[in-house]
Amino acid sequence: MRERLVMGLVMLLITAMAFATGTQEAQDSGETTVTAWVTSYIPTQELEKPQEEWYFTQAIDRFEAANPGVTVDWTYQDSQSQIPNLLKAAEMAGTAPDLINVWTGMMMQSIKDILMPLDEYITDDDLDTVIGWDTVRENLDPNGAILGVPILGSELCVVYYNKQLVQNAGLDFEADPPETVDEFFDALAALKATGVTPFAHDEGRSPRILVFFAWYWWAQQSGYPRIVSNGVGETPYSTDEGFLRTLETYRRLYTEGYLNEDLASSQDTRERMINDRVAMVPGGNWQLSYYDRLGADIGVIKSPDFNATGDGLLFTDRILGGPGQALVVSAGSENPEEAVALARFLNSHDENLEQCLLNPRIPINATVTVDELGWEGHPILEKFMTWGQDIAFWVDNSTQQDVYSEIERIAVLYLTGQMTQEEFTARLDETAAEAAAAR
Amino acid sequence: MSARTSGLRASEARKGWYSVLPALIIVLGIRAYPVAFAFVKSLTNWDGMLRNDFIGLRNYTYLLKSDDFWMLIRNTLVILTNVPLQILVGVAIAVLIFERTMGWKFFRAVYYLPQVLSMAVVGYLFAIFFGYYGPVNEALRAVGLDSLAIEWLGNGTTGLIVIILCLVWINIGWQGILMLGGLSAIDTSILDAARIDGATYRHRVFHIYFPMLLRVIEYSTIISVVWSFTGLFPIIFSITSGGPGYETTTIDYMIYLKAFRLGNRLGEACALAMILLAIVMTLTRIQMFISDRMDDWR
Repeated sequence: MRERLVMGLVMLLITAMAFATGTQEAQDSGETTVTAWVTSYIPTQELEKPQEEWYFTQAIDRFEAANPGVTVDWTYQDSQSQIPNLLKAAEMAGTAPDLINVWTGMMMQSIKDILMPLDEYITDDDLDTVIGWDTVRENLDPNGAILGVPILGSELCVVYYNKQLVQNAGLDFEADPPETVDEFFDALAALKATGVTPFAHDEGRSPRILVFFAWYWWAQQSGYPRIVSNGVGETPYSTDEGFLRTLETYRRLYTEGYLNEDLASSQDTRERMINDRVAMVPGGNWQLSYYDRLGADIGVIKSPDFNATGDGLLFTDRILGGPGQALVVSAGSENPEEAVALARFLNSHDENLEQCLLNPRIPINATVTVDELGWEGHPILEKFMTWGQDIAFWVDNSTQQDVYSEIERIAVLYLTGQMTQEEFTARLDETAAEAAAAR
Repeated sequence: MSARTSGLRASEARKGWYSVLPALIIVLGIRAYPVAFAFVKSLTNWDGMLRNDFIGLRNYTYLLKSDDFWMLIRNTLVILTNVPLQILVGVAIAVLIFERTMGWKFFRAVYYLPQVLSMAVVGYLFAIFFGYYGPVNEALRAVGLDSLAIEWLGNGTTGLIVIILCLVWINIGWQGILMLGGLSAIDTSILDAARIDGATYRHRVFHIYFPMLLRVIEYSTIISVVWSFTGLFPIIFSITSGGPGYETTTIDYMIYLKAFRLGNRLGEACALAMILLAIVMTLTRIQMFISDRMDDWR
């Protein structure tokens, strides 16, 4: 018995010494491992391929080759909306990665307590070469601390349409796209008369007709300071005239019968668009590869201006979007310098060019040109590049997270008349006040 | 009592404690610790990160005063109607099989099928079935009942009906097997005597089977009620996600929403979980009290 005990203790001692030596060796050799969670570097079409063929796998190989002694241990996270929760759990457990791919704006703001400010690691050259730094600063304040590095590109909120169905209604959106709300409603009426569903989305799941399409009118009328202040409970939604007018117009889409009848519970409007049952759907530039299945029949327009004259509007002829993705560094990271170096590498001219060729978007690196992308003459990509020059930043990213979550859930009740406008705005004011009190 | 006997008893008691200690530690670790942790967190404004201030009973008063809480209670109570329905169907199936009614072998083979499917799968199937262009509406349209082909999952009332139907369907197997077990325990001499006395099928069902199944029904009710309060998450998630809005959200689903979807309100979510625990314990106590009283009446 005693012999076994002694043998056990000796084995334990040897194992412990072996581990200690291994750790010491790693430290002495100067090896650094940067851990990362990424999502948006791997587009849907790449998921079908073996991992070694993914762009990101190859980019990491190039980074490691260019930075001897640094290895990257990365994990693909398929649900970006869950990243704040996963990160919080990992932070509590002391296992948070160094570098994390998150949405810019309010998602990033909601986890700023566990992020490392990066001002000391960002160079003037970074600030000059990469666009979108205002979207990653604390509280979206141009003078706030830099909480992350904008990546990939600037995204756009658009409306995809079926050219054939639009032509059947006697319309030509290529030559004469609807430029005002009134013109858009006229087009909807013409489409409805042909028997197709003019405009569709799974609003019960995610209210994109509101957030990607109608909120452009809100930004035009109320402006971003008001949008942000409503979200943080400093001003009420219920007295925001621009918001109220936007809501009324949004509801008109439903009451006048221009939206899919089952919008509160549908889950397949994208497929209906591909199957010629729907004339238009709201979406983003990143969905082009999906809607491309319509071939030459796919077209794209942007959200129309709220009125023709521009009266009472802070700006016209823009498009919702902007840099929507960032890489952030966790507060407890021991390798912030290497983590930022990786972000910088991914934002370099050659890497960003390859990313934009893989999944079309306005390059985050200002030195990448349209010529290099080869988009000249492409009926849709050329529009993206032109529209991307004059962007109105994401309204959802500018809205406090608690309030946005509430809007996502209850917007469909307002749209379908199960909740009045007064009830809807009162609910948002209440949520904003509660979130402000909790802070 | 001699000193020797007393020493032996103490030794036995010690051994007894040592025997149950591993199980006790596991139970305390798995059950008691999370409950205690959730209770402590329910008294804070914990957001899962750094915010973790003691705020007393504020989460509880906020929840109990909010209209949402009473809507959750309403939804949960409406969904509770699935319990008598599933028991009724379970008893009916068990009697059919027990009585060897025509086709009983077929029923015996298929009635347990829903139980072996994942609840999430069943939920998604129901969501498809009751979709606006799903088989239910298509069938209604095919027979000229277009006005009944509605968006079932687009409002709270019909959404809850679909959830109840799903719960009844998924529990048929479990209820059936439970009731069949109860029927099998009935002394055959009672049934033989009843047959000799000329008891009809209806007499046997209402005067023998039901009274003899009361204890099983009582057990099934307690378990099903507790499950209806705490186990609906996969069904709600897959059929309606608690929507539209919060119209089909139940207490257990709201715990998830508050913790992970609506701004990291983990403190509030913990308070809601404690309220749910209190409700379930109270209901179970009431059910057991009623069942004890029923024993007295018998």
